[in-house]
Amino acid sequence: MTLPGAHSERASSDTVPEIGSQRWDTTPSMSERYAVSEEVTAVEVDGEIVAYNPATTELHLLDRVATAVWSYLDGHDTLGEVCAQLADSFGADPDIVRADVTVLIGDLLAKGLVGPTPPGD
Amino acid sequence: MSPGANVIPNAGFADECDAAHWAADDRAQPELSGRTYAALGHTFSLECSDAQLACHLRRLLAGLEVPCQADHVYTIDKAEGSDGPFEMYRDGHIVDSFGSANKVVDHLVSAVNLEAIASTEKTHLVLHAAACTNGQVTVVLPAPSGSGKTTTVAGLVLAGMGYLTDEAVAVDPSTMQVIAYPKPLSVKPGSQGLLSGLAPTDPAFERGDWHVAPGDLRVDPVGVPGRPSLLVRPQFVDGATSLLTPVSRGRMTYLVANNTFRFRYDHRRLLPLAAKLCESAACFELTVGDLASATQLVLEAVRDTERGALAQ
Repeated sequence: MTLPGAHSERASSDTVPEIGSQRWDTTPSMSERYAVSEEVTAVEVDGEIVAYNPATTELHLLDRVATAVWSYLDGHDTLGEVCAQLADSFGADPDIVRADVTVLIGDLLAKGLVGPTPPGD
Repeated sequence: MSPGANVIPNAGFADECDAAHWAADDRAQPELSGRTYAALGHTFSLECSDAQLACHLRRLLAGLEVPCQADHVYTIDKAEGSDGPFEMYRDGHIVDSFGSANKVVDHLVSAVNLEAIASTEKTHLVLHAAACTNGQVTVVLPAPSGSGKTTTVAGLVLAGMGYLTDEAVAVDPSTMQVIAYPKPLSVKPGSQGLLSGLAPTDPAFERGDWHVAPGDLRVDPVGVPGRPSLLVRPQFVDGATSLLTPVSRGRMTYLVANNTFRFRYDHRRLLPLAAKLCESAACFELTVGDLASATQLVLEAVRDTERGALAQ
């Protein structure tokens, strides 16, 4: 299983202005819970997520594998638990899944599309 | 049929606008009297004291002419017997002064376009896009400025498609149908070599962008729009081989959203609409090398869509 990840192109400045940005620590932790950022608008079209982050004014297109991971990011399970579920669903090597998901979540964190869920939420 | 084969350069211009007619300059020219125009939700009338310019504007704006209550009036005034300057007013308030008729036309077309977009962008999905139709298949070409929207749609209309717009596609969110906005085509200098048959015959209008009346492309040029079933993102690449490449609906949603007016302010409403526009359409990216081959590629996709071969 490989996770090609999120593809993004910066929206042109004449259509989407800078209105500030919010960035997280981009090193994911397997014991952390992650969820899609509240301010992000996203739609799924034929198995691909298109997401807009108003904080960075960037549109992103996630491929099918990244979209599958995205669907698990509800802030309920730890990233380690998400990886175990993904490995089970895809019948993939858990170590490879953990490595790929780490890269993907780091990318999504850097883009401000997901964030850690505070303990107790 | 190669694009350009059925160009009607300024068809009817001489008959409608002969010099004898222009000579009767009694300030507000009868060419525009009683005519009203609708550019999406922007309705207006025109008054012009210069006979030649009035005739030119009548031809350019013919596609927008509809009986309606004009909410605004543009007035263009030129001192009698002078070469300029032209003064333009909107609802009685001066907008600016222009040194040539060509610059007045530039400004008027641009001002009307901005007002047209502003009139609909808060209630509709309004894309930076061109569009055309054959009555069965409505084609939308979303792309940023300079990508070849006008060139591609001109090629398609020259080949027989019905013109809808070259700049702003408004989609009614309740029906997802396109609203026709058959403005004059604005052919930028970089595209004029591909559309040389549309060059203005009057030297007064040959500098800068060419503003081309839809009626100069073919007789009865404006089509009846429907819900888009073919979405094509054009990209002009000088010297390239024209190529039509299928893309996913997710990718097209991304491209549509990136070319949606007011997206940054209203993304929660507009992103689902962009997705809805793409959900039942065939989606492609088009490399426009030469216009004739690019046009043929899109026409083949239109035929395939019409046959249901691309319906998913």
